[in-house]
Amino acid sequence: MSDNKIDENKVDNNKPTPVDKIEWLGMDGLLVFGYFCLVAIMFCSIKYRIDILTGWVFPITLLLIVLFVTFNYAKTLGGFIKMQNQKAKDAKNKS
Amino acid sequence: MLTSIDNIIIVLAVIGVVFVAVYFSKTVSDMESYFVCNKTLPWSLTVGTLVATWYGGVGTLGSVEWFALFGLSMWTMWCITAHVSRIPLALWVGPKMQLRTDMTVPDLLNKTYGKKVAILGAFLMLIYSCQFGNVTSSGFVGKVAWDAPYMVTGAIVIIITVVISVAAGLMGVAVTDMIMFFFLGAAVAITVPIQWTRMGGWKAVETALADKPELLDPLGGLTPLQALTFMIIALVVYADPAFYQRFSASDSPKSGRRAMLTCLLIWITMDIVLVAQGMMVNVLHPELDPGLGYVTLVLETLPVGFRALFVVALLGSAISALDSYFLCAGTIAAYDIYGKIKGNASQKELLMLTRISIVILGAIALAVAFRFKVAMDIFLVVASVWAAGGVVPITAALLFKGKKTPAGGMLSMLVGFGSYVFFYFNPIGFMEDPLPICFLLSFIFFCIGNLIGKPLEQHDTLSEGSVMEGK
Repeated sequence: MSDNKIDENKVDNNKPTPVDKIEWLGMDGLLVFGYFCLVAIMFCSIKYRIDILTGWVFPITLLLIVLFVTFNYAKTLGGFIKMQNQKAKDAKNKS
Repeated sequence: MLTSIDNIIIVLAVIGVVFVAVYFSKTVSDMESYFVCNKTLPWSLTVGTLVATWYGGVGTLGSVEWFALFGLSMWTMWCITAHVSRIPLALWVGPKMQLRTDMTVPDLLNKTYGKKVAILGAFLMLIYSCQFGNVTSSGFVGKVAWDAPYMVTGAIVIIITVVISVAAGLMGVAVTDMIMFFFLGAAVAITVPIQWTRMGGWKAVETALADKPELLDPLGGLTPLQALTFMIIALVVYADPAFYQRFSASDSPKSGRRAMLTCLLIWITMDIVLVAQGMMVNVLHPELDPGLGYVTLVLETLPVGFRALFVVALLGSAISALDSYFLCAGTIAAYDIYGKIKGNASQKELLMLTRISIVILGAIALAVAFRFKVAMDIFLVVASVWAAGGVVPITAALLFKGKKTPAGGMLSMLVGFGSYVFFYFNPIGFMEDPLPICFLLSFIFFCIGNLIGKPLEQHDTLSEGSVMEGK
């Protein structure tokens, strides 16, 4: 159950797992670098009181992110439900 | 403050959300395994659940309270530090946990330090799960929206939470979480552009805070000790099982890692928008407690309809966060404490105890929540207890390769937790918050304890690389 579980799914710890490398020159590095860039811009906006950033750019960026994440979530969820329905249809046809 | 149209929208929205929750709980029977157990959660969904989990009712309202009270340095000291401390979690710890998933946090303590430390750790986790600030924040919403007494809104929220915790499915909660995230995120983002220019921007903030210039200094609103306290609290994430659960659900270590790194960008953006709102509360409603001021500000800014959705989102997020924590706490009380002490408790007995624990927690929440004027203060207390006693032994169990003995784990937890409780009730004049000293004591006694006795024979922690090497 719930949040105190790290997970309930047992995995086979005897099975060798592929080594997972951090791509410092790829997406991982870009995201870490992006975080620090964003922090620097935001720090300047509050340090130097830049109205356009604080009042407009950051809230609109947040709104766009919220929309993007939600639609992406809805799209994936829709795909999953479609897959479920297809499975149920196939099972019905077989029987 | 709400109009009839708003109230109708609220009723319709609640019915809609309940319908969605029931639909997903019943019709998609194996969604739970899809989201949690089968490790097929792609990047986008991991991002969604992580963000939705972090910003609930108290996460949003509480952050604004802190920014209004402590000023810009709260963002610099608390937000930046909290997110930076999650980078190692995203890059190294989380991906390993994605592969290694057959244990709970008390199990991890049990394997590393033994049964007694696991039970004590479960007890501390139980305290951490008492996130009653969500009840406080709901009271603020009820007061501003309908002029309802705090206890009435609190009681309604608690009753709904207890019912959901005992009866509802996890998938329904996950989907409604996402809906709440959308409502809340949109309402928060829309409020600032509408009100910031109208208010007069930074000039108005400078005028309003002319007698408190330290609040406008990104490095100056907090004392060094306060700043250190918040930095330590940021480390609680290393002992937060909710994060590990989300990592475990992702479809690969890479996907989990990137989702967490993406979340850092989203969280810091959300935080800076909430900073603007904290400043707006100081300008437009300095006469009110910051929590009340924030709800008032949003409701008077948003157009009819939007503000109804904001109310639904804030109350819904609070209920959603509470039911997760209540379930967590009930299980800890039944399985990890009672079950481990008794040894041979039946499933029926444990289930009954879980439900009884949830009802008792609901009653305690109602009794405690409105003793605090700032919703986030409750989080501060329970997170400090967990940080003082739990963070050192758990982080060491995950990452430290050296010798770890049961005495080390026990002393670290007992001294960290005990000293925090002692200093909380017997404050020392020069220390605004005892957490830094308690955290240090926990670390010192962890080192001393590891000199006593031998490590347990079974070494199965992440620090020894057993997962990655496939031992």
